[in-house]
Amino acid sequence: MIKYFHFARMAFQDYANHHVRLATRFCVYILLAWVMIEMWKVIYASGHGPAGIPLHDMGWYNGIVQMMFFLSPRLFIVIDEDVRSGNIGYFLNRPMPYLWMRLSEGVGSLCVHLILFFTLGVGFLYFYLGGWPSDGVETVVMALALLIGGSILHLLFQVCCGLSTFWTNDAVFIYNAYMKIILLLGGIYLPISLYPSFMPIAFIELLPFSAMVGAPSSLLIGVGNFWEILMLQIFWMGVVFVFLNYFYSVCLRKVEVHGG
Amino acid sequence: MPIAIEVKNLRKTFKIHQKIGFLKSLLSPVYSEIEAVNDLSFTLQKGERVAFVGPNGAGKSTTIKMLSGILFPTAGQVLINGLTPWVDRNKMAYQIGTVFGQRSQLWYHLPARDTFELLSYAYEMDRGVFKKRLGDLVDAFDAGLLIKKSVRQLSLGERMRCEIIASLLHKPSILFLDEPTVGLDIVSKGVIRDLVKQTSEQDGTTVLLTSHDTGDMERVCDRVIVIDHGQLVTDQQVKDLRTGYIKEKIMTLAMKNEQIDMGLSGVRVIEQFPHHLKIAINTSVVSVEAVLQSAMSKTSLEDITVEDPPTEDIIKAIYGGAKSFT
Repeated sequence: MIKYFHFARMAFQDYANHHVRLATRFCVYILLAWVMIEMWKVIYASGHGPAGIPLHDMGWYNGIVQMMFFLSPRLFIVIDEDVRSGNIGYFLNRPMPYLWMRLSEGVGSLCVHLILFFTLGVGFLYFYLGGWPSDGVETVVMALALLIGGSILHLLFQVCCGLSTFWTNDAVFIYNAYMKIILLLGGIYLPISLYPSFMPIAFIELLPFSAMVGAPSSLLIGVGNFWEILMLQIFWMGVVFVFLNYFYSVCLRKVEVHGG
Repeated sequence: MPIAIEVKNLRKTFKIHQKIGFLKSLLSPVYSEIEAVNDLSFTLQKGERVAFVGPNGAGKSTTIKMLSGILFPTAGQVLINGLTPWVDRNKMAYQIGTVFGQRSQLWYHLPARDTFELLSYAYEMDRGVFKKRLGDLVDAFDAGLLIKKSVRQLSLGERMRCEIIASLLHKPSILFLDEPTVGLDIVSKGVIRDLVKQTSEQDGTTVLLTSHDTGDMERVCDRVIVIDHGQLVTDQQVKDLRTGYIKEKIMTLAMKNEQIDMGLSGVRVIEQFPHHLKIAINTSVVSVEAVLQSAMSKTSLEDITVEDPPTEDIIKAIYGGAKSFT
């Protein structure tokens, strides 16, 4: 395990040096969170806000939901490039599996984002929204803890998307399809509890997409149970982990590196 | 001597997807096959330094990639220190080092030293052993200052020195080098060649090197395996190549007369200008001595040199289908 830790440490060190990239990422997050919160302000002002959820809490919900997408590094692109260029082959004769090496690096980069967004990002929300949500600072801490689990799950899904390049020659459209599903079933724009009644809400809540994104943030509007969401995340991590192991072993047979 | 690498009837076929229109391609895809390596067999003893030579597309890199566990073969058997590369990848990783001239294993934005440290963890090296080994390699490769610089700031030659250090760090018993001097200037090439040979002699490392540069072969290796179209063409000692393949000598004369006509069969003029003549002598037709006597009878000679043709010409002749005389 120690070797994986050092790969993560190295990625952390490397990624933390990309100041412009980090600053840009953070600014885009601030812009997006601001737009979403302002939009909800307009909805509440017109009297169409959901009953029982104060605007202040809805602001926190949106701020944390948007944060989720900025935490995980774009690991699928790295894997996609490795597969397309044949670079993946050159990692195979190392004494650690390529898959876990890239995941360790992903976790290292994720940690840089966690530090940035959990300090400055949460600070921005606190000052912009004028205080902690109604249920107190502890709900924010719990949501952030679940966001870490959600980000790791998101990383695992990204690896699946990246490896799909072996068949599709391009992971971007697979990743885009995956993102569309998250937008639809993850509770990005609207908490899942507020979805229209014709949608199978109970079923959607059991899916990994809501466990990653909407469910952690829903604690901020007083919906959901921390331990249930955590268990659901662990369950899905296990499922994706097992699938990934199998998927990777199939992919290895397809590695082709032509020429010198 | 124990065997380090054993290759038996190795084959690798690549399937290439043919583009025949979107729908047709989707419903009934058509593939063409390219035979990159075809029934290749050879062995390397421990500590041997062998050059693996062939024209572009001969299958050199594909073979080295199968030997180092990167590619699965279509058929055949490979044993690296008794291990099958594509089955025992993890175990074998500790015993081999690889340098691919066109790929880097160093982290681009960080100093090479950081990559070395990372690799020491990957190879589960004891901290003391790692520090000593790194110190020894840094001294041998004169890389004390290089390893503190960010990799992006290094020249290609400097980077290649760091790449080789990275591949030797865990003291592998076999080193695969795939075009390690590609793109390097003549000085850097010399440095890399000498360092690889010196390290191999010191540690008893088996070296399998592919290159288009015959200088790599001559300066580093004792034996050469030539392949073409994925098949073995010849396998012999480097020193035997000269005598074995080309019955030709190059003679350069500096003479008193402006020019002379040799008028001998088996002699071909390569270049001629006033007081200078360069000829190729086919020694199976006429002896060097006879040519020399003929020249001396026609003019007074101021200087003579007799050389073997360049190794590149020998390799070219082998690619062209020349047969060994030995």
